[in-house]
Amino acid sequence: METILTLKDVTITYDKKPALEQVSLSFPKNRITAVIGPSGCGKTTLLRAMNRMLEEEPGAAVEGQILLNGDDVRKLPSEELRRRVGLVFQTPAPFPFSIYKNMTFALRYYGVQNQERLAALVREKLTLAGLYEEVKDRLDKSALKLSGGQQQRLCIARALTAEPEVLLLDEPCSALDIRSIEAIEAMLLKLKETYTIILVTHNIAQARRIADYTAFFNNGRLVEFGEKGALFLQPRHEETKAFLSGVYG
Amino acid sequence: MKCKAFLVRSWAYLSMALVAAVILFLFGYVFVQGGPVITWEFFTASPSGSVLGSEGGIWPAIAGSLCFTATAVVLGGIPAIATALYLVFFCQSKLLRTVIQMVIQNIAGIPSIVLGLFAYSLLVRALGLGRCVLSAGVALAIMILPFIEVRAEKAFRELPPALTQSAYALGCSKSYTIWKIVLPACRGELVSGVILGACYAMGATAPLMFTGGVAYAAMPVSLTKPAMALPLHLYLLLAQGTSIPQAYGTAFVLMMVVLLSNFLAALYAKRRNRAWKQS
Repeated sequence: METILTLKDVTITYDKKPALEQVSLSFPKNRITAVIGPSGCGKTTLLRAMNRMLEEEPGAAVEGQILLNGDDVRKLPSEELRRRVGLVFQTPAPFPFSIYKNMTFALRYYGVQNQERLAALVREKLTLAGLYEEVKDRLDKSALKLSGGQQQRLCIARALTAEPEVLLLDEPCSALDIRSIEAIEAMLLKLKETYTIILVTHNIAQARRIADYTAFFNNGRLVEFGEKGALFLQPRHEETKAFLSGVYG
Repeated sequence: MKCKAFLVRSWAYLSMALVAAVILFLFGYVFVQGGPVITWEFFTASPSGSVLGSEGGIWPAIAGSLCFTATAVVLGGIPAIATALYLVFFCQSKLLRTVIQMVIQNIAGIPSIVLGLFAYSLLVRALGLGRCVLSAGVALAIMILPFIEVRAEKAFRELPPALTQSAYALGCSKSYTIWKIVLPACRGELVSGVILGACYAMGATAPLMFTGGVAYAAMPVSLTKPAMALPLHLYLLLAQGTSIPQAYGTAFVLMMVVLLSNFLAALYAKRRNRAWKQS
């Protein structure tokens, strides 16, 4: 199994208080890995550490090594790292521009100026996110007018314009209705052919439906990591069993 | 209990009525006193008369005030907004941020006549610029810098962090994010902050008394020449007893310019905010 992101003894502290302790874990390439666990167990912190967004928060410190294809992420320029490891937040945050401008925001930053090329890329990424058919007639309309589910898919499509290798998703469906969730899950299953997806979710059923691997965190520790069948059918740890049967959830 | 509530309410209503009455009276009084001199000529002509200013208009003072204000806005507004950007998006050290904010608060506390004295001794005398629009503009710029900085900083802090974070997460640099997202998103607040700062500068007399404002000058043509200014003209008309109606007329024009600018600033900020929420 080829891995892309590897964590070695990663400990993360906020103002010296540990949020994650001694996490060692490898994320398989071109697979969906779900990260589950009760609220406050450090799932989001883990995601934010992997593309160094944590640096923007004062007081957070990371120890241990996080490797992207064998390179220590701290040695990469943060902009390059964030381009290669995209992050989509829990609440959709489209920029207050048109859909088209949202999609070209990062592309223009990376120096794509040719109008035809921009249009082709916008179309390609929106199609990947399953949104193109719904919005193709109103690309020049404000992205804030889209529904919550559409906004979230737009944010995922926007993250794809940076051509990431890994896509980190922080509970992308937590505020959405069932139909939007279905659309996003179908999209993720399609995207894993090209991208590695790491999905933080509090929804066990969702992890079960789409994840190839699942990591269970509790109290800042990695309790169990396994293929989805193994983790859900035969959890090895009492804590995992208790969580899956709803004691914490 | 009922009696107490009644008292508090009456007190609140009376206070409000008193404040409203004072403001209306002030405007009404100035308008009535200055009314007779306010003609088209008053706006477009230069001061004249046997004692200069007793007849004629105040056009050079209006133009001069606009020049002083524009100089102050350029010299003060740009560093003010840049300081706010630094404090919100770049400054990592808590200590440094506290120190900078303290300095800005202290600048806000400097009496304006002291700023005038400072600009006079440094720019007019030591650097030899002489009394000119530029020297006075610097004094006014220092005066309005904290005023604009505080408003800009507030606008930047109130921007939803999800927007800037999303841009960083796409691998975009801070400067690109600031140019493309932060500044456009805060444009309403920034413009209204700058206009309010401009009003503040326009009404100030002390900073330009020794540094660039004069009793009489032709139309301002250069940053290195002195100019007339509305508040200084008003002060001189009164202090030298030249013409009371002319003084009231000048006061009325000054008040209207400042009021109109305030109104436009509020309107612009409101419209921008609405556009931002709807778009």
